[in-house]
Amino acid sequence: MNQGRVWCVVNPTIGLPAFLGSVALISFTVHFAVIENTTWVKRFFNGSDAAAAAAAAPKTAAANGYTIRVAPTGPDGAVKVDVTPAGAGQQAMNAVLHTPAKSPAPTGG
Amino acid sequence: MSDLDDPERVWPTGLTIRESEELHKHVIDGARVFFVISLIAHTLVYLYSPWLK
Repeated sequence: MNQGRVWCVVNPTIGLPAFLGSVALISFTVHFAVIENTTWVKRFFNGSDAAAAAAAAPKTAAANGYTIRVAPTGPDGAVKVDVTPAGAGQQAMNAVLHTPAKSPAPTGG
Repeated sequence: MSDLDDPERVWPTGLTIRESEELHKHVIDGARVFFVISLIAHTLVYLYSPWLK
């Protein structure tokens, strides 16, 4: 077996816990980093993100010889729309749509 | 368990090559089981959570 003689020079009572511990530590670090650097994990664990996950999945529809794909792009509600023509000779188009900015609150009296 | 002055023993750990390779087989088997379980777990997470969506 490849490297099977390693336990002749590394004491298993030290080497095995060190190996298993390092695997556990790396795994913990990676998953902790995912939880710390994303927004969806906490919402998902709270049970409110299942519908959001379904909504976040890109949807496609065909209309008038075009395939239209709508995909949410971020937490601000923006969506990316890709319009792909079914036939040749026409160019694909895309746009990122944002919700209109709220009008400024009235000032003065 | 054979004697401590067994000439097949390798130091510093004192295991024979056969013992070392048998232990290593269990380590590798455990790693394979761990890999398969983690593969299943990641597949389920990919399918049923917003991960990478």
